[in-house]
Amino acid sequence: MEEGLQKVTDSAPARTSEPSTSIPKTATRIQGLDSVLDGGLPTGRTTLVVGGPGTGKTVLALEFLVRGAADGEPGLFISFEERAEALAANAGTLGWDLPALEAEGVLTIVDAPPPWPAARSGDFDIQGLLAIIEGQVARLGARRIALDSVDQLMLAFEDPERERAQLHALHDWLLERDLTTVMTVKEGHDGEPIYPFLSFLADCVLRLDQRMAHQVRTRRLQVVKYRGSGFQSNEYPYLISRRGLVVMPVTEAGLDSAVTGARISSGDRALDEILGGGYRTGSTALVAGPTGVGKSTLACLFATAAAEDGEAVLYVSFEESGDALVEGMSSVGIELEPLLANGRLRQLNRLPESSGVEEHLFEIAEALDDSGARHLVVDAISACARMGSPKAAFDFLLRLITLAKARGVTCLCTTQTANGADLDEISGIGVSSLIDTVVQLGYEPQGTAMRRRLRVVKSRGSRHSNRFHWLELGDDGISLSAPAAETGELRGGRVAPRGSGG
Amino acid sequence: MSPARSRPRPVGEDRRLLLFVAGDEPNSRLARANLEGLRPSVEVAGGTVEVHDVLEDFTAAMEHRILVTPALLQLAPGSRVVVVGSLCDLPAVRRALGLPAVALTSAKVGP
Repeated sequence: MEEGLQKVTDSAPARTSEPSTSIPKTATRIQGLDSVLDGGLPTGRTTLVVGGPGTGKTVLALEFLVRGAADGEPGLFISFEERAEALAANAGTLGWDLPALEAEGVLTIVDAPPPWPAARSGDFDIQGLLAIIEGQVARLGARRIALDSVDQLMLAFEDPERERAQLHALHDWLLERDLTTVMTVKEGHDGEPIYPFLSFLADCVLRLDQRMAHQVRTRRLQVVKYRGSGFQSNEYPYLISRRGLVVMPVTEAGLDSAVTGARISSGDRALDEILGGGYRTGSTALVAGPTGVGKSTLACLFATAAAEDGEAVLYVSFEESGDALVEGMSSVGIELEPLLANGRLRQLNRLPESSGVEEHLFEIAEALDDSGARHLVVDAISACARMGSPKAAFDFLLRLITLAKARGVTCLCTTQTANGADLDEISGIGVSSLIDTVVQLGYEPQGTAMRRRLRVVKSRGSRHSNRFHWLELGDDGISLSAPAAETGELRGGRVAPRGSGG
Repeated sequence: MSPARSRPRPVGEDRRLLLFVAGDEPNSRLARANLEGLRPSVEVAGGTVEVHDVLEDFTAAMEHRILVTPALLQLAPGSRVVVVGSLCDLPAVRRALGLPAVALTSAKVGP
């Protein structure tokens, strides 16, 4: 699973031997982070990790050491905040066995949390800490060190000038010894750094941010500064998963992928014909239209056709429960239950507001990994606007679609639009350029009734029909026909599974 | 917590004073000298006084979680008190450690 997730978040493998920049780097092997850092943290220099409480600073610092230790590179963790026992217990929930790593001699935890001291009398400095670091580094042969968090150490001084002097001395001392250091520090309540000068001293500054938008928590990582190196400067969603920190950069590889995959059926012969031969493997299609027009029906036709061909399909629903979808599709002759029972079709039903973008992305990525699905349905992306903000929805869809493309997963999304929506509305949350095929559904008055109609707005790499077609939903799926004024002939009907002779 | 309860209780012969210093660094030198002003009060009651140089051996500092120097650690059953600095204000140090406020010598050194 972990290896699989690496594909999700880190499509470009971490470069450790030949980074694109001139300074040497140490790969963190934290999922997704090395892509953002263009290879890793600066070797032999100090990286500052700033953030409010609960943002995961300790997890990041500890994971840097744990992953290094797993690769045989010893590390030293100095905790000014948590007891070693508490740290080990928390790390255990992420699958990291700190006592075992300590027993192997690849990790040492030194804890010195407050409260201390009882009294001050005269001047003092951090020589004791430096002596401990020096001794432990020599004993372990450590090149990695984490200090978590230095604002707690500074409580001993109670004087901004002395704190500044000590932090300068600490930084210089670490630099002289060529130690690759992660130093965490809290932000003030106003989001401002407690020690602004530390950002100037450090060669690399990462900021972890946690915010609420419309009752949905979202976490973002930003590389504020990286001296002597390129880096991706945007904010990136991240989460603390069951196995550590996961950063989610955009998988740029997905943007380069051409729409040249093999044809794959939409699930209906007539629709395949209208599309110019069906969808393309590895492409992304969008079915747009007003409520009740048949978007989920088209999505389920696609899903069942693939599943009946023996392919694994993941169906993510942000609007309906699993039972409601099964029942609704049964009324138009699409039976999902057998495919759910044999495991070829897997449902993931979630309310968009149930968690942040990063949790949704991670869960879908995990489900894709677990099921081995090469086909993904997301019904409906218009609901993603409830993930906190339009920006959050955009972040989600951009990452989801590029992730699907990078993996060669064929993705079909639905989106709810007003009747007669123009293309601007179909582009909706702003990802239209990533969509290869757009199928627009709508209603048209016919006497006292409304008829459904379908049009393929675009289908990259295909000679598709550009006409409107009538769409009927019946007891046995859909039927498509040319409008009365047209003469086109369409031979409709469900697509039979391959090898069935249908 | 009341002031009376927070004050370290007299510990007599169980008292152990450990001064952590960093070589011959000025504050450490002052602390060593000022420690002599406390020594009689401790030893007369059967307690012990030790000096640990972190530059020679870091393990004691690590064992006792001492990150700054000079630092004076008083250990006694159920009691742990740390005083940091060069110990230049001996009356204040005595109060922190629960030692008698009697200056047996005039050993104060430094500002």
